[in-house]
Amino acid sequence: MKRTAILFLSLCALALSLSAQGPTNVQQTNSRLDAALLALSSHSSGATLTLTPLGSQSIYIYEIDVTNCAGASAVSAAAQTALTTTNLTGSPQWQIGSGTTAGLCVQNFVVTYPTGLKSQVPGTPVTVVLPTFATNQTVGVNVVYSSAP
Amino acid sequence: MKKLLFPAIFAAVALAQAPSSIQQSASRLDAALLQQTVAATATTLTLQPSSSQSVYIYQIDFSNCEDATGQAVAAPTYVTTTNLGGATTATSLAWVMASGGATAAGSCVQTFSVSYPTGLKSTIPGTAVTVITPTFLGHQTIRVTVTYAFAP
Repeated sequence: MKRTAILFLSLCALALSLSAQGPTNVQQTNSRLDAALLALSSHSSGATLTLTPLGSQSIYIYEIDVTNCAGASAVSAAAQTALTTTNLTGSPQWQIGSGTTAGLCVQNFVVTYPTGLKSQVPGTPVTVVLPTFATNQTVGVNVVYSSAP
Repeated sequence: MKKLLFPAIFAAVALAQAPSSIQQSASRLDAALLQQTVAATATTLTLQPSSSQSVYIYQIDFSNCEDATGQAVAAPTYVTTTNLGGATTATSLAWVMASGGATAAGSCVQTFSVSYPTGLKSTIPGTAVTVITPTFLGHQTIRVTVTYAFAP
C-alpha cells in the first residue's frame, strides 16, 4: 500500500515538474507588429494622396510632415490655403501660408500620432489633399500609415 | 529510503516551479540602436539589414544651413529615400530642402525632425533602405541624421 502511494506521489511530482517547466515567452521583442508600413509623398500642386485600406480594414496614420518653401523667386503674398483631409473624424486641416522670401521655407512642421489616428469609416480611403500652390511655391507632404483591422 | 523519497519529491517540485519573470523591465528590446549621419553633397546613407531582417526607422533629423557667405538663391532640392512606404507608394518619401539666398548667410533655414513612434518598417526585408542627400548649392550644408534598428 505504502509502495503504491509512493509510486503515485512520484508520478504526480514528475507530472508537475514537466508541466511547470513549459516556459511562456512574455518578453518584449525588437520586432514591432504595429510599425507603419506604408507611406505616400507629394510636392505637386492640388495633388490628392489616397490612403486605401486593405478590404474592410481601417487606415492608421502615424505621422504627417509638411514643408512649405519658395523657389528661386519669392512667393507673392496671398491668402492662406489649407491642407485638407477626408474620412478622419473632425476632418482635420492645416493652414498653409502663401508668401515668403525666395529660397526660404516658411513652414516645416510634423504631426505625430503615437498610437495612430484611425480612419472614421473602415474600408474607405483616407485622402490628404494638397492646396493649389501660389506661384513659386512648393509644399511637400509625407504621410506615414498602416492598414489594419 | 522512504524517508529520503518525500524530501526528494518536494525538492523536485519546488525546483521545477522556479517562476519565469513576467514583470516589466526597464530594458527595451524595441529601442533604436543605430544611427547614421551625413552632411555631404549627393551622398547616400545605406541602412543594410541582414537577410532576414527589416529596417525600422524611428527618427530623421534635418538641418539646412548656409555658411558666412551665403548661397545663391535657387529652386528647392529634395532629400529622397528608397525601400520605404510599401509597394503602392507612387513616389518615395522625400523632404523639400530650401535653397535660400544670401539674406540667410550664416544661419540655418530649416531645422526639423520627423519621428515614427512605432517605427516605419522597410518595404522589402533584407534590402537596404537608402536616404540620399541632394546636390548642395555653393555655401550650403544639409545634415541628415537617421535613427533606426534592425529587427524581424
